[in-house]
Amino acid sequence: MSMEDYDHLFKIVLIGNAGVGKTCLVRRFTQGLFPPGQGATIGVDFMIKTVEIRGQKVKLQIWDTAGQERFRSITQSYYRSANALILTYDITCEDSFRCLPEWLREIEQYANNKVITVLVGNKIDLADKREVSRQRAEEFAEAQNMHYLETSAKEADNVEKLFLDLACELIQEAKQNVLVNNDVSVMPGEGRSISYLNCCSFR
Amino acid sequence: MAADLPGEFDVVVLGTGLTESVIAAACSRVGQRVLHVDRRSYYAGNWASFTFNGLLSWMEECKQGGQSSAEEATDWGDKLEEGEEALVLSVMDTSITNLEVFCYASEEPEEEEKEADASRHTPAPVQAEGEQDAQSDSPTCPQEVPEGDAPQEGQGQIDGLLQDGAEEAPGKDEEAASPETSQAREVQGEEPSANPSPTEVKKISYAKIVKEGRRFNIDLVSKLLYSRGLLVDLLIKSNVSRYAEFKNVSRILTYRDGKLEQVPCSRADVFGSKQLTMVEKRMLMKFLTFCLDYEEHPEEYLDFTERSFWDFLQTKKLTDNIQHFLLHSIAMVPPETRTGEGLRSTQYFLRSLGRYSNTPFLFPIYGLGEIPQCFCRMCAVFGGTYCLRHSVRCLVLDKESGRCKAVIDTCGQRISCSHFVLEEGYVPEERRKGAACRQISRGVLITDRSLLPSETEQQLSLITVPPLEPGAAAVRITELCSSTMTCMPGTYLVHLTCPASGSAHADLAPVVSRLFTETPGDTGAADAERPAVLWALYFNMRNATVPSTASYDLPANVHVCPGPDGLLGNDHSIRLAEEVFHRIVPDEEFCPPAPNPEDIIFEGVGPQGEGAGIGEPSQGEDAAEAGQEDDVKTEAAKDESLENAGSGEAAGQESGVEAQEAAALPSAPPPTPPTDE
Amino acid sequence: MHGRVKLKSTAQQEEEKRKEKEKKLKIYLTTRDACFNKRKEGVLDEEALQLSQQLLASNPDFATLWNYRREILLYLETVRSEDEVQRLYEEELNFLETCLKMNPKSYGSWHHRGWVSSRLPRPDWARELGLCDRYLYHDDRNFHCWDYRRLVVKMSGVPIEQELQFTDRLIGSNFSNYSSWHYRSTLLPLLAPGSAESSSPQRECSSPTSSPQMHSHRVCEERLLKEYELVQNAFFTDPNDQSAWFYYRWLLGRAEREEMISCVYVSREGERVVVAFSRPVNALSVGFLLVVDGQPLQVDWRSAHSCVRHSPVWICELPPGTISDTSNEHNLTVTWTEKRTHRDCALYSGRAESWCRDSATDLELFRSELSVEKSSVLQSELQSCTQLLELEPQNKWCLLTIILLMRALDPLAYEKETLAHFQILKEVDSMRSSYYSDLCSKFMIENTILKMEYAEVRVFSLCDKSLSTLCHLDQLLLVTHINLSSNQLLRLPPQFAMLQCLEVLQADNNIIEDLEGLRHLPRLEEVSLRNNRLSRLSDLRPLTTCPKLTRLDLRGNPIAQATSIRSELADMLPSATDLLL
Repeated sequence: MSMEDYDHLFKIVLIGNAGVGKTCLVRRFTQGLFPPGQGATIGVDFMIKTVEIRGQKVKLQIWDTAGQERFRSITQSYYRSANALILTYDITCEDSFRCLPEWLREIEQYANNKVITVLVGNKIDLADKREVSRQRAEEFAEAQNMHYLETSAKEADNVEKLFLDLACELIQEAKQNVLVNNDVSVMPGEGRSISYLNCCSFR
Repeated sequence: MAADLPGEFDVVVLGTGLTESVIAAACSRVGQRVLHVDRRSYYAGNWASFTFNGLLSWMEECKQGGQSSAEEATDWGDKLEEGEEALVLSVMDTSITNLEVFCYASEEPEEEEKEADASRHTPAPVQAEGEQDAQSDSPTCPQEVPEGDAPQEGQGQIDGLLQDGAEEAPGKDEEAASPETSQAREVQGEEPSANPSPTEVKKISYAKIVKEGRRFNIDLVSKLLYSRGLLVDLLIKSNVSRYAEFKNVSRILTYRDGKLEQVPCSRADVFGSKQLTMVEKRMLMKFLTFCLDYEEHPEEYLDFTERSFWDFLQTKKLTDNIQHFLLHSIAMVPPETRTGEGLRSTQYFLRSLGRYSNTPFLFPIYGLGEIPQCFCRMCAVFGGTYCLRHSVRCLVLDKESGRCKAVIDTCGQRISCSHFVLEEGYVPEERRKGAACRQISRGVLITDRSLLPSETEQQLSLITVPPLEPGAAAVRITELCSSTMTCMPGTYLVHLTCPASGSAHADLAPVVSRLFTETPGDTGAADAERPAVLWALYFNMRNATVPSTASYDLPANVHVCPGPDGLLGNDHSIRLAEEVFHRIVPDEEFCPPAPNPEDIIFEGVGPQGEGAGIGEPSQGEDAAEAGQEDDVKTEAAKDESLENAGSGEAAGQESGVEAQEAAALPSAPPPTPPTDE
Repeated sequence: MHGRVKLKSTAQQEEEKRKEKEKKLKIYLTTRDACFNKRKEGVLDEEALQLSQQLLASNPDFATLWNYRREILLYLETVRSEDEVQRLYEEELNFLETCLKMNPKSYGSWHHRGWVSSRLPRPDWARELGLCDRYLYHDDRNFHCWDYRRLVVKMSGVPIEQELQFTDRLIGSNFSNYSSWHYRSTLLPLLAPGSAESSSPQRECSSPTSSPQMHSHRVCEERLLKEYELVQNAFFTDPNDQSAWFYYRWLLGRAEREEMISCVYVSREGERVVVAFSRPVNALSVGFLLVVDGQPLQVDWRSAHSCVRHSPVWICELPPGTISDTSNEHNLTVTWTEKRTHRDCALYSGRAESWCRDSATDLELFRSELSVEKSSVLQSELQSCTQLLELEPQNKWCLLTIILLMRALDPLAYEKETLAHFQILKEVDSMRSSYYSDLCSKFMIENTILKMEYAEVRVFSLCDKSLSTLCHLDQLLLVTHINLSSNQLLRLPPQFAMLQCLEVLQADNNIIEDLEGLRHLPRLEEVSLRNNRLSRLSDLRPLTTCPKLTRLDLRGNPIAQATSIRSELADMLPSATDLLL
């Protein structure tokens, strides 16, 4: 344990139809609770949780869709630098499952090639209302080369597992890729501050 | 799907260009209920960036006059109440005209080796001659194209695309355009006999471009961010910067005496320059130092306020070399510009130097179209509702007050609002007051190598080409390398921009033919050094001038946002967005920093307890993260903190403000916004 | 308003922060105590590594803990296999990197890294060099990292050329950087050492030992020319950047004079030997040997002034009768055993005194300021600087460099221009006008010495030149008459006592209030100090040590107004019969 540091930082992005429980998964994982009301929380860009995996501190930054999925209007930039995608559908909602290919197209189009994608069927607490069989989903996931997991944000089933497994895989990936890219991009705010015209002059 | 939109908003915004998106974000940020719609299927309007195939679809769309094909006007008469009238919005987008496409790359599917229509452009090993079927062939493999049938039509029916624009453009367009188009195609059949060089590197075929189409992010408007421009300040201040990544423009080039050379603009450049003599170095530095705070030395320029910047430069004992650099590449103004404005432009350039690199400019990775989207994300995060492929058909005006009370959307739903913001293109013709609109000429080239190769392939260059003949306009070129994620590896994406005097192709052709090799059959020795154009697109775009409120005959609570202008920076758009925002909510702050996630109170939740990851010190990392590629996450994150430490150090001896800014911004946003000196 | 973000109040936030802080502090203190206990008990195990790591991660400058870690690691080395040790140290390096992220200037972390690197069974120097590159790229002034880099370069034998290219890159991105320029100055002589003949002037050597060979911190000419160009680029780009000018100064002159005995003087009458060295030495701690007529003599050396322990001039009294007989010829040899150098001096019969010294010319006397490059090179450098001065007439670095170049080329020919440049310097950089006055004084004295040498006289006259200080007094060892009138001298410093042959001193019209240097001048007869600021009788006390003083002119000094001064002076200086008050 060190006091503030982390060994890895990953951006995980959730996608999927509105109402499949993306926000609930995030809240369950980061805050350990199941928010009763609906509606996205205003002003929250992403949630953070730091977990420890085999002695390494891994900081997970988990981004939610901010409601833009409602009318199929997610911005491309949302996908850009994600390390992992959690594609979520609702097992009690056939429609949310049928939309998956569309989501996959978006991923294909905008996300990084190497992004890890996990398919999640949420709401297994509502087993009696299940519309999508586990087998169908597994087959679909396999065909698309994704991991598949069923969860219940409400009962906290498999939620930890979902994120921790993902973190493990991301660490593996990161270790293989260390130092591949030294072409670091800049972002506003961190400017180096050498004044190029009058440096060290003492007028 | 969009039928279940709520019936009431504070602000409805139509169009997702930069200005509209910033307004939407700013309004949402301070609690306004915002509905943000765009009739298009993509974000950012004329600010958009497209994949190659997306661009082909866009061209199709332009051909149809930008009309959204699906929905037909429903009858909205029943939505109007007593004392109301409807103001119908325009459904035609006329901002893009004179679209012309040229393909110089081999149109053979990659895997087939049977023939070379233009010998140089195909893999060397097997070369047969004379077959002409390429022309009749579809330019692309249909199965590779995800977006409908656009690509197939893209090549063969280009001329058709011109029809809408042709009416508005000067008459000579027709001549300028069609011979060229046909020439480009004819060449493929007629001149196959140039000596094929067996050693030649495999050329990129059109099929390859289409196949790799999603690696392209082609901007409709070519702009850069001045490091100290309003947009960068806004990105930082609002924390929107966390949604995007940027690359520094790595060099500034200019065309002079028939060749390209690097413009020394920073102190380090001047130091390292091999073209400047020692004395020139001193002259240039001295002049730049003066420009940096020219206001403090009025005696130097006051006599010239009524005269041109060019005249002023003549008197400064500067060599031709330096005058050229100053006028064309640093101030980037026409020679007749007044001295004051020339100095201001120079100063603006210089102030942006050194903040992030040795050039003043940043470019967003994945293209400029990312920026409006980032603001849309911010708007959504603060509760804004988003709906693409959806538009507003008409405004509901209160006859008495003349104000806009509501809008009726393309589903015929009435949505009330207190303010309506719209992209200029939707303003019906009869509501525009005079002012013949100006045009920008745009060229987009995909080329096979850099204009000025250097030790690294990954150069992001800004190139200024002074008027080739008197009276012509200077042409601004940005050459993007593949690490900007705007083109596939092995190619460069070249954007050309100038004020239009004729069609884009007519305006830009002279520059393109000087700097690039266009025709596949032509193999002069000199051409070997020039990049070959694989594919080219030309079009004119309406050049937005900032409207005075009096430019449109519209209610006071309807705010028009012109599209992009032809300038390099984005200040006009940001300034306008702020103005409109203040008209909508006069007493609120414009895009204050987003709160720390850990300071947000979640409804129904007490103070966050243990285990709530949100309690972790979170800031700093999020900023760090936004600046990285996924595969170097941690490595880059480390570099971030290093950079912060380093920059704080470097700043220590400079202005304290700078140091704070550098250190504070990527981390938790304190309520104090960064100040610009 | 609807949809507003709900934020915690400031108090709430602060409270949370405070609690967080408290929690951390508690953990920290507990861990620290645990760690200290283990050390006290002499436990050297992995847990202790763990604990200290936790602490160091938040406070990387906790030196005791680094020491503890080294103890543990050294112990573990003895009980683990090489592979395990390798892994252990690699982990240590990883950990250090996180510490450096927190504080890139942590003494403890860098030091420990150096230690770890040197213990690592299979070091990965490329990685270490890469680390330095990164840190220096972000902060090219991080001297901890510079130090570490030198260590890495030394341990791994990085080619010097490669390091030079590294400085090229740093300087290319920001040339205002002493560290990079300085690093260059240490690399160049290794990479391109100047050959002896190209760098040292062709000159006649009277004896092999007296040849003032230049030290070999020099750089071959071809390389040097490139460096001149590089650094000129810097100061033409920004003439106010001093790092470039300093480097330029280094390039122009690093020739140090060989340590040697520059002069031996013998006075038969005083039975005294005076030895001058090329630099101040402490004769009491270095070995001198005086041999007179083949006989080593045991003598007591004293410096010219008792308060100066490092002095270029040392004096000894010979045993009475050693050389007093005028009819005898004597041969003396002074050997500086440590430097294996010596100088002979013959005192011929009938002569009252004798000396042996280099026939000093400007070339070897004062060129240690600027080197003895071929004058064509210097001349072209002077032209460049003059060109720059035209563009930047107020630039002090340029002015100063021009002065130095002129001195290197021909101090006497450029004397007038030099004085004019000094005048401008004092105006444009008034904060340092005293410095420039002193420097100008120094140059004027050098010029006067040169003139004296050329004229082969023992008279030194430097009047009305605004002298503010005295220097090079060791060069005036043989001077009998000195005139320093009408300057701005405040004092005759202790070093003045090196003028062992002085007979007549004129220093009228100065602002002298201190005569400390007029001590033990055996031949001093006349002193004229009109119009100075001598005000107390005690100020004149040093004169009591000058046995031959007969004439003393104190007119125009405050002291001359004092009552009964004449009688008091007569008491104090009985030999001074000619008192002017």
